Amino acid sequence: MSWTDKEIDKLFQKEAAKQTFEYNDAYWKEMEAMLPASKKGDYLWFLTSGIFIALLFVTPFMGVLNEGKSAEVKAMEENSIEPMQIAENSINSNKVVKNSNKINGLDGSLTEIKMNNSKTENHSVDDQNNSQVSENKDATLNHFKKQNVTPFVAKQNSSISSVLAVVNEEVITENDQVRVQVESEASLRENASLLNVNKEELFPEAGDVDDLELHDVALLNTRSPLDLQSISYDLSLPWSTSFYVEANAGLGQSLITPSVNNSHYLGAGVGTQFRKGRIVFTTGANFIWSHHKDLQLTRQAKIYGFGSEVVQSHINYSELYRIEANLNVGYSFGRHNLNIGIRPSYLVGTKVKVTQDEGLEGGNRTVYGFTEGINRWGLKPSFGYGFDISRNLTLGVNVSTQVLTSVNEDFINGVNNKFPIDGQIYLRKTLRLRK
Amino acid sequence: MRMNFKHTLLLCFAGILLFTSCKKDQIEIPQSNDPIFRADGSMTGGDFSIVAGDNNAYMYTMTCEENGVNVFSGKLSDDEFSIEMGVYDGLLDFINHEALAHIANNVSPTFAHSDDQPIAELNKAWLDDLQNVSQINWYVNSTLVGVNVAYIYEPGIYNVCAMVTFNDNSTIEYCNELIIGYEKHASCSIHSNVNVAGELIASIQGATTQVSEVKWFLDDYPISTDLYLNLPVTPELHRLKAQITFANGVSRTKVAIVDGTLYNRDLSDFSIFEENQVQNPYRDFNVKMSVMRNGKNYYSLPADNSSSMINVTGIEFYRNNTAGNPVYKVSANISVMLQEAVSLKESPLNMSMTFGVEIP
Repeated sequence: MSWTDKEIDKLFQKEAAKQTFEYNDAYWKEMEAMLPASKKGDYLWFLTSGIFIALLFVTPFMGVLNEGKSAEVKAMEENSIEPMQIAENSINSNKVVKNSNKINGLDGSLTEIKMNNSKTENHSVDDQNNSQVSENKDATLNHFKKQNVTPFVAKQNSSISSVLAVVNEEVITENDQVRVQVESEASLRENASLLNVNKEELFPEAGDVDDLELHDVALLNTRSPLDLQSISYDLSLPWSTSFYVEANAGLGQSLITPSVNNSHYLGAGVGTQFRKGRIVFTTGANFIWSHHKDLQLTRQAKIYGFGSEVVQSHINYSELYRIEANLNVGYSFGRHNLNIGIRPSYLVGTKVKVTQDEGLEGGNRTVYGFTEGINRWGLKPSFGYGFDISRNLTLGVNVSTQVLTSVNEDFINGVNNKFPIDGQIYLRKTLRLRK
Repeated sequence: MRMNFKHTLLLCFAGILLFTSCKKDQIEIPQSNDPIFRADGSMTGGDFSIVAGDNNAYMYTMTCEENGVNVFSGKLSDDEFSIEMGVYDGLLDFINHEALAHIANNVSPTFAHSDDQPIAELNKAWLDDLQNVSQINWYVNSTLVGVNVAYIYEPGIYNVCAMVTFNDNSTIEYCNELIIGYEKHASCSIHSNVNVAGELIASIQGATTQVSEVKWFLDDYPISTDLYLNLPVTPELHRLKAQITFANGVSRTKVAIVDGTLYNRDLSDFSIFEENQVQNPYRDFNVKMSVMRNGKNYYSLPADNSSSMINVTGIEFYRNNTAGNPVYKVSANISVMLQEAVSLKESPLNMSMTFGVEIP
């Protein structure tokens, strides 16, 4: 006997009209088994992240090793008159003395001039810089005196002062004043060792102050931030370390799809910056407090007893609490900084709103710490831009994307959003530690 | 006090540690479970499967009363099909008895049987040796069932009353509890008479088990707790009641009529009716079943189930029902004959089932 179309249609409509169906967990397991195995590529992210993190943590110790060679470096500095190296060490007042000596010792005849800066060891960097500037000026005047160029001292002095004033301004804005200041001073002296410029050309008898300034500025500007030689040069410099505190806020795409909602978050944290020339390594940790509207779980169950009842539970992950590391490397040029890095994170808690049918234990309540629906680990490659709005204050933005699956799809209505993008703005204050 | 960076770091670390070490709440998400009660088998009309919770099927549990005896019952029913199973109570003459223990220990209970033959007879002649009674109207559970002679067809506990009319037209009514069709674990009767001095002399006679306590009542007033009663009575008809407690825990109440006027209108209690009942198998903890299918009703009681079999494979507490009484989950394999109510045709039912039965 064959079915007629009418009979088939009737049968279909009858079955479709049934309001209940038997829930069977085995069906879901079968479907799960049909899904392609995922997370196979995750190890690549962890591997590259691990290498990156290892480099970030190892490089500071390399810097320590470099400091152990400081004596040798100093000798090389004195022999080769490498101004940039000298400049990087200028935070130390003793090195300021050396710099002063070098300035005075350009012609090798004024080494007897001693600047007793040892008393300024406990001064701030600004004080050191100021003293250094004044010392440099004095040393230069003395040099002119020794060279019998007295008639031009006043003018020359003023031109140097003007150069140094420019440099000092740069110093304030670069937040690494000593380095840049001496760098400019070193530029004055590159004539002797690198450019083979005759000191009479640099310090002309006729007092061509304009030439001097233009030459100096030209030297500064011709060094492109992206110049590979400059980068390698920066890497050869010693390390400097600073600490910072940070507040941030962000807006991101939903962790699941489909969704019309965004997530937003606030955060705060601390970190350390290791600077080597213009290259800055950053390691930090932030506490991230994110808000979500679409991380919901609806679970329906048919519970048999004397009869049966279908009960529903709604779980809304409204807030997530994460600890997020900030590991990146950046390049500074002037007040600007570009960086790339990764931000691994770990979920430490959640705020979950639970709504259950009447008769079930719990009812409507708020639960903290229920993390079964959210994957604990996260990893975000990021790139960003920072701007030094003052000497110790940096405003920046980061753009990142989550590369690990964020939610356990068994617990969430929806599927993981692939590479959700978020933007972050941060305000970072550099801490100046005193002993 | 000025905080330095190290203090700030320590505070942050301590805060994070505190936050992550907070007690985490748990959310109990309800999970689907397998059906609890179901029956699968075959009978006339084909195979069947009924599951409580599917297709509007529901497992009803209740304790019914049949002729004064509890029947612990469960009924699995949907709109078109239902199966009902009941377990009769037993040990009815004990003051307190644990039905559950006996049900659980009896892995092969028998099916109850009933037919249209009387199992007990209430007869005036068995009470009235001296022919002083002109008529007795028999009331069973307040229903008049016969004059001078009446019959009881079903096992049960009955309150049987006799409205006695003597030859002198004097009347008196007295009642006794009769246990019919169930096993009795002790028996006795009241022996009494009034002597010429007008003293009532009474005692418990024919006890099959040691009597531990007797409470005597005369016209519903307690008069003594002695095993042997001796006291003067007024010259009129009296109802003498004895509440007898046996050493094995059985308790019975007997009522007799004593005549203080010396006209010999004494009447014995109704123990004679219990002793003379038809000795069918007792119904203690027997099982009965009924099925409703396709508009027809099938019953196990009238069918011949002498060779039927029920094998209880498990019994365990499930939970209280909506009435607050405990429900036990009984798993069994059953092969039973059922008789259709109209055609009286018998048909076999074979099934395995997990049933809910209320056992208070």
